[in-house]
Amino acid sequence: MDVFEQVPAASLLATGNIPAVGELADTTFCVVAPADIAARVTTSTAGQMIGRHARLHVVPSDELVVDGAFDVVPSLAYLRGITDSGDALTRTSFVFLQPNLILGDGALRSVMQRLTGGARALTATYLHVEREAIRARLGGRAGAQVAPRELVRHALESLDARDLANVVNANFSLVGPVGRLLWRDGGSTLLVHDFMPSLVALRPDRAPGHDPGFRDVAFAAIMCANAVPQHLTDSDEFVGVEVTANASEAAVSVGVRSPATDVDRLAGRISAAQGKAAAENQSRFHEGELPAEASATSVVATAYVRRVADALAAVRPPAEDRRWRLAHYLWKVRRFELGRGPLPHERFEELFAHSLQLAQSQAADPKVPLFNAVRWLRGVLFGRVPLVTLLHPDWLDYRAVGPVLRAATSVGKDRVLYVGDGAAVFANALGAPDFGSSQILDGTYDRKPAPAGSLDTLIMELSASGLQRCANLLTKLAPAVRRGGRIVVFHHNSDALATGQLAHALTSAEQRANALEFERASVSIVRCSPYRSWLREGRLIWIAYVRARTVVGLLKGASIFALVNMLLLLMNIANLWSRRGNASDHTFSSLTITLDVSPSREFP
Amino acid sequence: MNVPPIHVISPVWGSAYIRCFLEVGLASLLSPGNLSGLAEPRNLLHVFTTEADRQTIESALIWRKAQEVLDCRIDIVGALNAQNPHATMSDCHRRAIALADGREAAMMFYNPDIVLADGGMSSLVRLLAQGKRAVQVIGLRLLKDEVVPMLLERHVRPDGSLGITPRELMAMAVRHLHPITMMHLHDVDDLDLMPQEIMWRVGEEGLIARCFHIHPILVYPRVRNAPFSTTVDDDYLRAACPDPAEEYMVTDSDEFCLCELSGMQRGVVGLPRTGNDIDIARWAWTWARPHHYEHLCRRIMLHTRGTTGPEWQAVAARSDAVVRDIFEHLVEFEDEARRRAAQVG
Repeated sequence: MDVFEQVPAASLLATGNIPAVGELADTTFCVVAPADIAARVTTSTAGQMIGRHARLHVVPSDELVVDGAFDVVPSLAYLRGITDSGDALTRTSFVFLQPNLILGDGALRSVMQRLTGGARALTATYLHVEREAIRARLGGRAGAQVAPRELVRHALESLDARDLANVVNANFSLVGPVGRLLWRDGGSTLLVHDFMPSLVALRPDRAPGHDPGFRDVAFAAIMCANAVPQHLTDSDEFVGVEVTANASEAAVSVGVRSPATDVDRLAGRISAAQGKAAAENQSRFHEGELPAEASATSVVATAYVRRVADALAAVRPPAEDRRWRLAHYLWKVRRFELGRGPLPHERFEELFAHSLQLAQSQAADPKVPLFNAVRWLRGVLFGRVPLVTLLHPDWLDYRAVGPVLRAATSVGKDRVLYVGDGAAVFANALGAPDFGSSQILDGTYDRKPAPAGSLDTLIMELSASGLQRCANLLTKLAPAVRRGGRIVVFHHNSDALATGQLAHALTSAEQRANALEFERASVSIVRCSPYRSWLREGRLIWIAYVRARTVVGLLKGASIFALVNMLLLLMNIANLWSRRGNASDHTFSSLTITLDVSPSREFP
Repeated sequence: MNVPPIHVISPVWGSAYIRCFLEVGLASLLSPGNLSGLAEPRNLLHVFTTEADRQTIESALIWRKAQEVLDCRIDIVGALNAQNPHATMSDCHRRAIALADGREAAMMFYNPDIVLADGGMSSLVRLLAQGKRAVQVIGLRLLKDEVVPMLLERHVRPDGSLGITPRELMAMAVRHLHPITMMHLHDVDDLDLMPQEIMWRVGEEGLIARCFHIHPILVYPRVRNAPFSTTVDDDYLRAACPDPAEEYMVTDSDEFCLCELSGMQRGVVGLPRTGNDIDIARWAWTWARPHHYEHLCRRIMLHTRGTTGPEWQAVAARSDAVVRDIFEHLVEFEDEARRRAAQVG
């Protein structure tokens, strides 16, 4: 409101703006605002002067406004202003004013002329100018008319950081927010190709739907069938500047600009149609007369934007609806937090469907293909627990169970039962566990157990407590395994479980196995040695050096990586022929029991 | 709605954790606005510990005080997985869930290294009465060695319980953040970034947090014996309470406030900071799931005074802008993923 009262309100009262519109048509000045703001507008001097030329009408929007800047609020407010006209909607032209918009004299008259000439949607580029700078230049002129060329002159001297950063032919290469490209043409003209122009006016032929989208992006498409917006390109005909605060510098960075980099930046945001329109419409903001022929700068600018537009034509259209949905959701969440609405629900699984799918399938960041290569290389060199290679520090633990897991993954899931406790790392190969061991023994699961003889393989990855009850598990589950099938019990302990407990669990499990008369039984216990623990810890040290991102750090990291992994490889090779551990060893790392069911015998 | 009994589930072992649990965790749980104020004999304090630690717990005065207030039960943990204590803890949780589900009780997952501000349990009971079945909170991690002496010196009551108001606890918290918590701060340059939670300081008055990950402190399951893959923090909540309408996220520390206490030596490796929110978006792209995005959209106010001042509004607006920025990057990633999928197709 403070900004509006300074200059924009006065510019509306220029002879060629609201007074002119009031003479040409039955005009309503519709204030969509919270009650207190609306009261200030209607009782202000500017409001009362506007009221001499147009009917003042207030549409309350208190429930739209929350404590913060939410992108959807202006669009929802404009929508409310449109729908407030009821049945007259399709017989009304709507001009979208903004409280921070300074219009050149005659701008609204031009809009009216275009609309009466048949245009259904009008767009324009609003230059962004710094609030304090433009106020200093126009302050003495408040309340008076500002001719288009005079406004352009002041605007060119007051451009804000965002527009300055997007001047392509500037001395220093900066990058501003996505949306428009500017060229200075001599000292008195600015050429703009705008990929995201502002919607100035609309003559709807149908009512909008529910929550339609952003004003500039969606309104014309959903309220005007097949209407191609006309772009107001000559500042003599129409000029408007948006007053902004200094904070807009935050959106600027140093960067290299070329058609290729602009395509990259615009590709996710701009449709082919928007690119084509931007290439065709060159807005010219000029203080003096324009030459009859296009200037060299104008030709260069058009060619540049055409290259960008041609490249964009091959790109899949953006999904502005996702931006709208997210912005709308954030706004509704804030309303909920303020106690002004229910907690909304958004289908993020749908919004980010492809991302979630890619991430879940272990794909790497689409922006960093190198990451994919590193992950692939890591997978090839080391594997992934439990299917690891000879280079992996845990290879000794998983070498006995690896072939069983590979075989299990090749048969149908209904032929394999996977009981997994705790971290259940076999899930990396087998998917989520069917049951936990306590669920099996306590009967707390609600699914039917596998029928007798229905399984090829039973795999039990047990926690310490599950291992203690291994014999009971065998009794309960072994009958589900068919003749010639296999049962594997695995426990990864590292160095925590006391060997006495291991011996006890192993004894009772072996007794049960003997009673069940398996065709063949084997036990593998992997010892936990201090050297191996030391190597396991040491293999991560290289990361700290690499993260330093210095040449020396990279060299050190690479050396440590190579050395530690070579030692791990040697250790694993040495253990190929070494004695396996047993239950009397001081500590153990893992236990694997493999039981083959006789081909000729069924369990009772 | 009738309020179900609450099982407070605490796996705890090792002398350091036992001591912290008895002196701080359990003591704060027994403050007047917490369990001592709830005259509900069906409530249960369900502790999992080792045989070696059992006697220490049972001989503690605060344990006897707990027995006066509610039913107390100790179950023995089998062998400990020293390499992966979370796996052992999850085993305990599974056993506790089975018991609680059998009694149709709500469960409060209460780690031993927690201090709970007074009134938190009352809030949970009120939320249960409103029909909520899953209550989620964030807990700031504080420096144990600095905070515990202050808690014991200033806030222990004559009956042995530990009473501290949410605002007193937050005042202590903002001065004694653990380095891991500092890694969550958005505007800190010197530390790695932990993007699971993103926080901003509001002077000395508190913090605003935007989080992907939050802790399910209370669950009253719709689905009995719901399975979970790793820890209850991960996928248990949605498995046990599939209806998001029955979830409740605590966003104001006045309503419920707890902090975790960790030693200085505890550390993690985060992401290198580049000062660009695209790093957070990249992390989220890989690791976040739909319900994490819902969490991120909420402002969590952790405060020592009111939150309506201009500084709070400015920081809240900053957090909103960062969240918008993250989503903007995620939309770009999604557009790119769709383009690639179309090309492959």
